[in-house]
Amino acid sequence: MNNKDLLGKEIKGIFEEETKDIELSSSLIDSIVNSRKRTWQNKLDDFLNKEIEIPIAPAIVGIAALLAISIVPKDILKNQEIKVINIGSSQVFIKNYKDVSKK
Amino acid sequence: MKIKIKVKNLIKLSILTLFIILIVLPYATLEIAKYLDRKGSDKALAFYESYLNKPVKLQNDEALYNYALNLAGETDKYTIMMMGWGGGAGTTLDGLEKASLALEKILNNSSSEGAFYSRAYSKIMDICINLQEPKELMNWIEWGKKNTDEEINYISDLYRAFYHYANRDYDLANKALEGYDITDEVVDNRYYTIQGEIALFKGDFETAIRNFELSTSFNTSYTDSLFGSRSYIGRNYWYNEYESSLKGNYKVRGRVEFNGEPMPFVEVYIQDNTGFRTGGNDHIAITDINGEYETLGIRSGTYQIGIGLSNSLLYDKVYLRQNLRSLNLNSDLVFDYSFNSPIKVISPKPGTVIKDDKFIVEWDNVSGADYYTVEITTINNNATFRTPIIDNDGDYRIRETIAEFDIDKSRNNIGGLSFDGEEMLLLPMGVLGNILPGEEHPIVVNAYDENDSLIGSSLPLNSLYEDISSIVVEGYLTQGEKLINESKYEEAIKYYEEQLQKDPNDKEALVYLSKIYMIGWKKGEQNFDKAIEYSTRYKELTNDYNLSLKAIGFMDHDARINNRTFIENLFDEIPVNERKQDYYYELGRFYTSLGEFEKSRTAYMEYVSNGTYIPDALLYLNLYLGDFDGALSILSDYKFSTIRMNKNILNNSILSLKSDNINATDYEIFKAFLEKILRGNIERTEGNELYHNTYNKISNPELKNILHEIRLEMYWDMDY
Repeated sequence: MNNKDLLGKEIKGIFEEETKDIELSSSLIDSIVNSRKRTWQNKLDDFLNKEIEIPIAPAIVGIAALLAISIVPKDILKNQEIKVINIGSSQVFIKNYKDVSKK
Repeated sequence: MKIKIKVKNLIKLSILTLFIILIVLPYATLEIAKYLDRKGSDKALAFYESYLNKPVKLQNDEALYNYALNLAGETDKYTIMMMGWGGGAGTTLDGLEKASLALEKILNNSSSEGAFYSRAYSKIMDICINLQEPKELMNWIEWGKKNTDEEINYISDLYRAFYHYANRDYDLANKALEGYDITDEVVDNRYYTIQGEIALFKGDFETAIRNFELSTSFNTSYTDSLFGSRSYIGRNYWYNEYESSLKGNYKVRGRVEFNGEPMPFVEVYIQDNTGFRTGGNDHIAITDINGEYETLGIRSGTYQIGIGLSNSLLYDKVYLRQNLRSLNLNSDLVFDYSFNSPIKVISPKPGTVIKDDKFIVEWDNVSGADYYTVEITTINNNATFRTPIIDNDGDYRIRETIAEFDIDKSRNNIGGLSFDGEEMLLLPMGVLGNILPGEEHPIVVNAYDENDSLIGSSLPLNSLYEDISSIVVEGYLTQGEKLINESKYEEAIKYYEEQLQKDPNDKEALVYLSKIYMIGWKKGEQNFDKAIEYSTRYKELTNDYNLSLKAIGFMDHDARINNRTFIENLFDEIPVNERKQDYYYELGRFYTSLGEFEKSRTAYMEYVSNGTYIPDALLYLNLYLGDFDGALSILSDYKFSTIRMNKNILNNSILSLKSDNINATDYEIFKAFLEKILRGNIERTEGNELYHNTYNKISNPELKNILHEIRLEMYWDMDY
């Protein structure tokens, strides 16, 4: 058996025995956490879990507008009414029909 | 009010929104487009275009195909028959060209396959047929033959067979379909339809009907089309009608052309002369790549013949209608259809405002034109009336390419006559005339040759209103005219009579009162005493006889007898140099009422010498007077056209009468019959009874033939 291992285990056991009732204060824990060196994952997690405030009404309106623009064709309101009249044997197309006889 | 949300949830929401916008919404857009399309909404196109502009299109082929179908529209043809025309699906050239481009995108996309791929291929060739593009059609046929897809090869062969069938190369058409039979999975109703058509035109009727029956074993809706037409659907039903009503030995051949160039793939139709179609618009011929056609064999008879083509081709075409109302088929015949580009009207431009009481119309010369007519159009409650206007020389026929017209003279004309409802209430245009202040009137110029055949017109079969020459006469309807325009005739009469009490020379009052009474503003309200009174007063003021002459035109036999003195005086008063066609026509009718048939005939012949048609009355007068040579001369004159009378039967019967000894009693009975027709106003039931009574009393078979033909011409045999 390795003498170093036995020693290490004994030191560890004594350390655990001596410290088992010791608690760190939350401010000390915070201090330790805040002062530790942060990885990019930590930073990302922080960012993702960050809360932001969004005004509901503009958000809903914005989403609705986006959906409407996406689904409704832009020239859907263009109402080109075409009427057909017969002059003799000819079919005559009147675009944007108004009463063409009346001027 | 605000909401707190974690950034990670916001990102998830954004990704979801993006997914919806890029994937879900396009799908929804396409489904909305298809729904609107099924409902026939014109908004469907906008939704298809919206889908096709999206960055992500998972159903691109389906969208392109449906978009193309919507643009192309239905395949119903615009039909031109001898006595009527119209119909069609309202397709436009622009629509078909866009549809073609959309279909090409499917076909040129190497990843395309499946149902829409093959449908797109058929449809693009259907469009080539409708646009009369045989070269383009053959290009696509060859493209399909080189394709590795079995179904595409099959469709290519079908259309190759169609191409040869249209060109009457029936052996080549059959060859294109070699190798296919009933066991092939790809074979469908189109195969049997085209096989049936080939057999039909080859004269193998048994094979034809067998193939038509086989084609019906596939699910085909009446809204479908094959080879660019609905005419191929239900041919088995049509064939039965053809066999029972039409099939015979005589063929009609001809050419359909535009500015001398051939028009291929035009369908040719025939219908019997009752005015009812035989089996619908099913074709009896189709033009080849030279624009030529040859019909199936038809039995002897009198028919209407016509053609059908896509509406999209009509915008630049004027149909040069012949002076024929029916075709007497007793041998093989030639009948051509010609279209021209429209005549250019130099002035007036569309919407020209006329501030004084005259306007000028000028147009391009038409080669071969003997004379022109200028017609003014009145649009009233969606009804349109077109009437020729007389120039300042009093002529309808204008020899130059420029003419001046007087608006007041045109106002005195009777406008288009139309009556509404059970009371037969006169529509205002009849009284107000054909040029009204404040209203826009399209103008049409027509050109005729020395045989009175139409050789040009400024109005093509389809046109945009903004392209048509038109005038707007400055001014407003007067108070009385407003009352007439609102059909308040009793108030109008009261108003104008009050006006005349204030001013007995009020011309407007005299003109309108005269017209209201001569036409009869509703059933039973004709009053010739008043019409004569007011028109005579107008004549004394203006020396214008036309209003009084028009009053005579509205009189029936009894009214002419009752007003004999007035009529005789008027005819004598009108100076010789002012005796135009209307004068001689009314004179002819007047003498008929008096029983002076020889004078009547002379008057009608004077009418015909300057006219474009020979009235039936002249034929009957010649027969009445026993002038068989005169009657035969009329039958052979191009100006005499019949609707249902068979000229050949009449001709043969009259020739026989010339050499026969006709029983005097028979001929007196026949003359009594003719006299009743010449006097006019015979209702259908009364006419049919008259015919039967006369027919049963007469023994001479030739006179019976003539009676029969007259009965057909009068439609006394019809049950409606």
